[in-house]
Amino acid sequence: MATSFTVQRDSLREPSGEAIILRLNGFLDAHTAPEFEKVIQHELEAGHVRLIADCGDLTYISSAGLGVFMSFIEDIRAAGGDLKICNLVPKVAQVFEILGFDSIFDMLPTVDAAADSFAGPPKEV
Amino acid sequence: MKLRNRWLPLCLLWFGACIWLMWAFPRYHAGARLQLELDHDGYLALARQFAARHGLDVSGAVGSVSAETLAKNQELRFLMPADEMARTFPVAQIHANFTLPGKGGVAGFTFRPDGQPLAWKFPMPAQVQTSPAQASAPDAVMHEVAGADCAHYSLTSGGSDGTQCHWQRTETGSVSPHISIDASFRNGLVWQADTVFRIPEAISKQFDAFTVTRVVTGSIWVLLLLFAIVVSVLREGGGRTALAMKNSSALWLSGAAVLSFVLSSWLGWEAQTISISSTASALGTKILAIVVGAMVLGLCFYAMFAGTVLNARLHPVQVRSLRLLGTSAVFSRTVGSALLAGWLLAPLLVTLPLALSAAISIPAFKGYDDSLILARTPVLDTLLNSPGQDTIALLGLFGVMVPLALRFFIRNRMALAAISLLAFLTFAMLNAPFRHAQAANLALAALQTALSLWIYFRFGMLSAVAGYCWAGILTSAGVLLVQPAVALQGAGLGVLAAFASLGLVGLVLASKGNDLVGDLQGESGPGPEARSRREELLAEFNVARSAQQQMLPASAPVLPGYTLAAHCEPAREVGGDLYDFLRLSEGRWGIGVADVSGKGVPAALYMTLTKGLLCAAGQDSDDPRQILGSVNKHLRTVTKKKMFVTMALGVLDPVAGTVEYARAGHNPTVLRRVGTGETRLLGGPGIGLGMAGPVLFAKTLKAETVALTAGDALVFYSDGLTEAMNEELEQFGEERLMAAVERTDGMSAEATQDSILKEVSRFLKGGHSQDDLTIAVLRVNSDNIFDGR
Repeated sequence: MATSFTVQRDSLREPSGEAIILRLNGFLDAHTAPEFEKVIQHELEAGHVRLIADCGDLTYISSAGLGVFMSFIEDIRAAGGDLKICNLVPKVAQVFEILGFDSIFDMLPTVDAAADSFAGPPKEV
Repeated sequence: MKLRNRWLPLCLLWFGACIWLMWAFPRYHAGARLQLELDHDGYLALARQFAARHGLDVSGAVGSVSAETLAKNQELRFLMPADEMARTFPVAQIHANFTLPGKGGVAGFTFRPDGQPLAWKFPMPAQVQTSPAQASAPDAVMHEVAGADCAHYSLTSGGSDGTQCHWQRTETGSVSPHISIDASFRNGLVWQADTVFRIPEAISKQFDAFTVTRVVTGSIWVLLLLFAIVVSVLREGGGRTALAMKNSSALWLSGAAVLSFVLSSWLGWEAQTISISSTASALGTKILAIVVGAMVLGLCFYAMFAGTVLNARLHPVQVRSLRLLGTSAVFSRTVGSALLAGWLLAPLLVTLPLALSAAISIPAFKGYDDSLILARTPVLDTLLNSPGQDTIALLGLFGVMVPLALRFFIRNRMALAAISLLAFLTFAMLNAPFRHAQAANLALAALQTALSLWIYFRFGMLSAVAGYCWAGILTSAGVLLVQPAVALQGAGLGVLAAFASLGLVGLVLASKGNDLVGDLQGESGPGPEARSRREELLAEFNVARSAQQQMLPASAPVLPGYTLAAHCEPAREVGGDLYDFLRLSEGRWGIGVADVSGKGVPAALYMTLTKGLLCAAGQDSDDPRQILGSVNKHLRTVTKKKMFVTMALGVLDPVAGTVEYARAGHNPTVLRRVGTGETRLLGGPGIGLGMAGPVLFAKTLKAETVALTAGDALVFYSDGLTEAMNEELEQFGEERLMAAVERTDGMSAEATQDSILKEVSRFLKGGHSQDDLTIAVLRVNSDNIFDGR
């Protein structure tokens, strides 16, 4: 089954620094996960470690998709940044919660809230 | 071989075409206009006689003979059918050349097909010894050349004492075409004579574009040779690389091939123009053109091979027989069937232009290789040389362009339209035998497109290519057979016999050939190499699958007062789901269901790892939090960052009737309480295994103790069950699962499990879950009376 997935990139100027908003759209599964992985990798290489995943248009996420979030979080935090997850639709939010993502990631209702949350310390893994 | 229905239309068409060809070939084929009275040796003997008569001894010289179709003259005859002058223009001429021993030079003779001389050129007269007795009178020369028409010629310059004579044919009312005869005398010897045919400029001009020179033929020859070399090299060496080539590399090479095709056709065109216009440097240019053309097309053939590889992925059946031909399975039924189909196709291909020619009453001007007719060994030369341009074009079409089209036009109809267009353009560029009926040329290209695509899709690429190969041979046989020379007719019969035996070989192979690769049409898998590799992999996967299944408990433990059941169904050959029943201390049992992130082999490897860790952890503890914590700790150290495992684990104390339950990121387990009619999900907090360090993991994970009562059920499952999606893209979901569990009250664990799985499969309407699907059920017997309560 062919699935579509896109990431749109925006940057956000905050008093505390710049944050990158990655707007995820579509199906994040085993087929599309490498694409998302590449996007994050690219941001890290560019030195952007304050990332906000806006999942407002993310309609489905599989374990491979969840794995992408997992695979970078430590590096991001080690580099002094964080990856915030926000704007989840209920069905996708449920998947994140079942897996216990809320213990590892900051899950926030809106992009603004996510941007604000950079002020506080990141969670421990 | 059973004559199945699919062969019938082809056989009937073949039969009809053969019958019709026997009648139509001598009437409509351009080769029939040649009317060669002699064969190779005959013309050579004629030239020797002629030379001797004119005082030149060529007895010790090496001779060669070739025929040349004069398409311009053919056209003139077609355009001016009533013109008497035009009718005397020969449609073909025969060249006989002798290389004299030592530094004797070359003597060349040109004849009409009936043996009448047209031109000759001796080496420089100083080197030729002649006796005055053999001296020719100028008029005698003119008589010899003009034959019965000599009355029409008059001497316009020179004379009996001159060294140059010029005769002009003068006829009133005939303005355009002209014939003149030039002769050079020395010591009474006519050492050079030429008949000059002057075609009206308007006809001549439009004609040059159609002239096919030997450069093109020569290039094609070199290419065929190169192709053979390249294929044989690839078979053992590059072949494996090409077969292992990724689609993108094959795509790039195919693109390069298309470019090469364009370049080489341009190059061929240039070489053609050069060879016509220049004389002095022509040879050097020709050689350069051939070398460069060969190099370009050598690359092109490699790319063609790459294209075929790409094609093999997209259209495996169509290229299977061709790839088999290149491997050891030549004597297989598949190759035999393809060759036979191509053989049956050949008469149809020869029939097409003739039928069109008959229908529109316009002669075709091309369709055979004139250089072959007077070959020293016509049968052998024809068999080797006849498969020509069409064959190459077909290889280019189906080896390069079709895969490219398929690559970019994924949807079947679009791909078919693109392929049809490409095929049509190829044939339209390649064959345009009707100079005065472009519509007929287009119709011919359309018919050839339809026929070759039909054969390609029905019988494969080898059939389509072989069909054009055999058609070239059949045409050559026909051209030889329709010549008046008996020796040529004999050679024609020889070629025909060879053609018939090719068909016979195809028939024998198709019926008796080894069956190791099965019947072409019966299968739709990839080629044998890929297939055997695939079979190998499948076999290995089957071993892996059964090994993995063996890792799961063979049967559920039998516990008094309870029933247990579990089932795991990988979506692929191997899966990442797991269930286990752990025998713990003091009669307790652990029931676990786990799901490794991702699918396929990586997931399967982590699944076995998880299974081992779970077993080990079960030895040390019977607390689900500790067991999960231990598994997490080890997984965390060995897994890649993006791999994780979710697990739901319940520890049953059969005596107390309690389950201590914890959930590491796994789907919440369904608890059904029969007594109260309550159904709920046990969704305590907990992070997936391998995702977080021991501290955070332990801090997050909460266990819950459930006290069971008679008839209660716990249903563990993986997300493959709740996320099973039907055609309407609807997921089975937790609600349906809970409702399904409610309908199983009173059933045993196994019956519960079967009932739920049946509901899922009914929901999927016969489809399959995209993900591994696992379920484990614990049911408390309805007559269970717990000691503790």
